[in-house]
Amino acid sequence: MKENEDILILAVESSCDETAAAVVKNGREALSNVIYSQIDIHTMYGGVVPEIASRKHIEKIDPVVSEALRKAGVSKEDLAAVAVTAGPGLVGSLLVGVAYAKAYAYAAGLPILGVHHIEGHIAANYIENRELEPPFLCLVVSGGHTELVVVEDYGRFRLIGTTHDDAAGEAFDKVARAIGLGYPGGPKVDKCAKAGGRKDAIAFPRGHVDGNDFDFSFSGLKSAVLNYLNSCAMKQGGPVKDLREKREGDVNFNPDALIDPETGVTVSDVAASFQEAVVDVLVTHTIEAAKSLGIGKVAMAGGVAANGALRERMKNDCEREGIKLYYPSPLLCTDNAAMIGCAAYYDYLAGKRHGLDLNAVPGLGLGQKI
Amino acid sequence: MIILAVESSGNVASAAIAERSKILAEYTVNIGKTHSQTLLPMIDRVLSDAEMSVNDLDAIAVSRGPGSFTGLRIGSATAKGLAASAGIPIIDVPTLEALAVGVGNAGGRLICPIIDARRNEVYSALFEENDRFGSVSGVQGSTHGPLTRIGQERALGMEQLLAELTAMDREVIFVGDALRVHAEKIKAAGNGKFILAPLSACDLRAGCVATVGLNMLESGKAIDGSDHTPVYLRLSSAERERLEQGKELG
Repeated sequence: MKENEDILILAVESSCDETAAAVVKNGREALSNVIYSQIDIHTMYGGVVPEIASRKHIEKIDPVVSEALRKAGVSKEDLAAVAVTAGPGLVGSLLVGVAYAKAYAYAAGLPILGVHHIEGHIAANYIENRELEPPFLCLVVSGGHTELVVVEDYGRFRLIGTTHDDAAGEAFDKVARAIGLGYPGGPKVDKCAKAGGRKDAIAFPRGHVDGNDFDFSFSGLKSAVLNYLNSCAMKQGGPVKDLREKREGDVNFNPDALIDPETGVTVSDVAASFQEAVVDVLVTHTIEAAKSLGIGKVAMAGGVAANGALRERMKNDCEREGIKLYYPSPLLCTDNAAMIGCAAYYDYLAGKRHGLDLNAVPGLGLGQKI
Repeated sequence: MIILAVESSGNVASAAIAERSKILAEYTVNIGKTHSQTLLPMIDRVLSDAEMSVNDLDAIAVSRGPGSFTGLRIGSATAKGLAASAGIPIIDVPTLEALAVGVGNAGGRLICPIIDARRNEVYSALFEENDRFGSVSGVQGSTHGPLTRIGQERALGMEQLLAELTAMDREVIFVGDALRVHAEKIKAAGNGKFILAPLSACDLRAGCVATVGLNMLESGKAIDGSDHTPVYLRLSSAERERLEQGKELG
């Protein structure tokens, strides 16, 4: 028996391009939260390269885990369990964390718990909002996910809306690339839009899916942006790609140089109008779902939940409707291990344990159990 | 000195507990399951059969590559996790040398391990016995002197390798999983001087990793787990393309 009653969980996360480890106390307090981000490397390639990500994980996993234990001031004897993201994510990346965490737990005589990455994102809300408890509605938005989830209880989720094509973050990445902002799209579009972009400059379509009011579709919006850019470029004498290549030759390509000569619309207007279309759909669906289900608490999770425009609009609309809104600080919106330790705590209390044969499950759907 | 040896660089997953003069327990599977599912349960099995725990080990030897990128990482991550938790070092054993050791007494011939590297290439290196009298004989109590590697570990085309070896005009024993693909080519090129190891020696087992690992441990070559990374011998395809475009890797 442990002398104190605190339950400390060492958590490991390596599902994409962040190598992360944390020690979480009683499911709500992150004693440490160490993240090694590989973003600089992947930015050179315009997106995450799976093989490079896997190689970086194996280099960084030891120092990241030992740093997490050191910062938390605990040793393995103080731990109750080891938790690790088992999916969804990139298989090669996941496998590094899963193999490491299982071996660490085994040698320490500790139980191992495989955690659902998206359940982790949702649980990130518990760390900074100690009073938050299920049931609540959560909008999960990231590079790989756009989902509306009813969190019925700890470890019990009901999916009520999902995307039929691109994830919201994916749409940000694709549009950012098209307007010359590069990777990662979310923060770059947000920044560009803030730099004087008019969100009502262009009326981009709001995606709607017949038959389910809470589902999402972003591919039509993405096409509309690309078509718009091409029509502007044609007026200036060629497709967007050619114009960009021409400009890359003389000076560093300035995306703002791409202006519709007739309307005077600039790239910052495109960024702002596109972002507004995404935010509008995300917020409207969330509010409508909360109202129709009679849920008074809404949370946000995932990398796109750090987007400034989304936060502001969701805050305004929730206040107007008398809905209590929760969202994690930007650091806890991105991939991290504290959220994994937090989600694992409730599984741990429920008696869930995994075997030494725990495997990575790259295509794990929300609500699916490991 | 007691070590755990781990091999997951190819299709085979294998774990062994070994000390200087013998292998105490060894478990090998080649059943198409992922190493992620099989490796740690096998480690648990060899430890419990040897009536030991991780805390009884002096070090962990891991087959460090070249080989399957994902397979190597599962072995490495497993070894790193065990080593960090138990506070013991890692011995990163060259996979090609462990394969060469499995040949047994080479009788003065060169040993050429070949691992299928896909894309029409093999991972390979050349080894020579330090001492012809029992250096790799496997006789209990004999000093298993390590093999000496001649030249570098490389990924290269089989035709190029065979041309280089033909020019050396020595007798060569080939071993490794790529024999299944290239046996006929080797026989044809060898003019009687190229010999194929039995298939039983061509899939690497952890016992051979342990043999090399114990040599390395005794000569002070164990390292901190955080300093260990797999040896791939190849860049990722994204990095290769970047270099081909004349850009830097950063």
